[in-house]
Amino acid sequence: QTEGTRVTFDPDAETTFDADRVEIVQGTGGGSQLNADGNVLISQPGVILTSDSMMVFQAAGSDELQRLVATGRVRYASVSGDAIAGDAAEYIAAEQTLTVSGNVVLLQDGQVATGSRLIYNVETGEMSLTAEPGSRVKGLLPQRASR
Amino acid sequence: MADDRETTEREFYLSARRVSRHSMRVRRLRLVTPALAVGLLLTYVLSATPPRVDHEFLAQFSGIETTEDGEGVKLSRPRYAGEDLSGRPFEVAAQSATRGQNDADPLALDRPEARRVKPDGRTSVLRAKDGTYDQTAQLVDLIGDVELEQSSSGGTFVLKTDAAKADLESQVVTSSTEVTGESERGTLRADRGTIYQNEDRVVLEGGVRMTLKPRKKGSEDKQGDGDGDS
Repeated sequence: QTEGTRVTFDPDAETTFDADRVEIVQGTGGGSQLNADGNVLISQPGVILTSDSMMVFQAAGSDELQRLVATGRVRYASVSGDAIAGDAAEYIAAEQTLTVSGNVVLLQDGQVATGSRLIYNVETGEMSLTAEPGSRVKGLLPQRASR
Repeated sequence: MADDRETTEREFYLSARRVSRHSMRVRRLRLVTPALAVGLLLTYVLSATPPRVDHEFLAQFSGIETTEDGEGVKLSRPRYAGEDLSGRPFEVAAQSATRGQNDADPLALDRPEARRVKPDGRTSVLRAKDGTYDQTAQLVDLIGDVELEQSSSGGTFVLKTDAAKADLESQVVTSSTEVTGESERGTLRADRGTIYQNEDRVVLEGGVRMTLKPRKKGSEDKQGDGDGDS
């Protein structure tokens, strides 16, 4: 779904999921859980999320993506120029939010920022970057060309 | 003297009574013994003949014939029903089964098919072109066009491979060749796969790739009604 320049995950687009090992466990209530390990990569046209391992939870009855937890070298990037890195990430479909934590590095519209926790609303594009108590969010802004 | 004669008369009287009693007993035995013999004979005859011949049981053996080389036994359309370790029923059937002379010899199965119905009513069917069934170890080696078809809440899911081994007791199916899978929601492939049927769990290993198709438009509207914001 492209909104101006923002490209993000779209439930109505085809999704490709790669990994070295995948375990699929059917839940008794009908939902299922997918545990993936080793070079895990989820991609849709224009968007990619990679990590060392990932757990994907599907809702019972509708097999929709409900929640996703990625751990280890988490990288998110989209053709619209957003890029995020961190130690772990959690995506909650109902809230349309991707929360990245641990050594977070954010690249957006040519600006770079670092912190310890980032909450990214994939629908609106809003981002909130915070740092651990006692440390600060750092940012690197591009120098505007002198007139 | 008188005493002697009296004793003799009494003895004579006693022995006469004893003789007549004896002969009565003999007369009675002469009647009872044959009756006993006839009774025994009748009891044997009645118990040796089953009340009715179980034709269905006999019919199962009608398909048995010896193999051409006379070395083995061939059974057409055999069906084996058993229970796995968790007590869940399963059934193994085939177009034909051929076995060597010994009971313990593995059975060569033509187009084997194993079927299970889970407690929640979902079914899983495992089929192949050929198979070998080791009755002692309860293992089935499946060769050629191996398919596992499993119904689930998301629809029917079919996993395919060229060769696999099924452990009927633990209900674990292990593929030794590439696995591909397909359902309404998408496709998958992996270098090999293991299916733990009793745990509803599938493990795929080696270059796993899954492609999830987008939701169908209709299902989105239904979802919208569900959320009350249609």
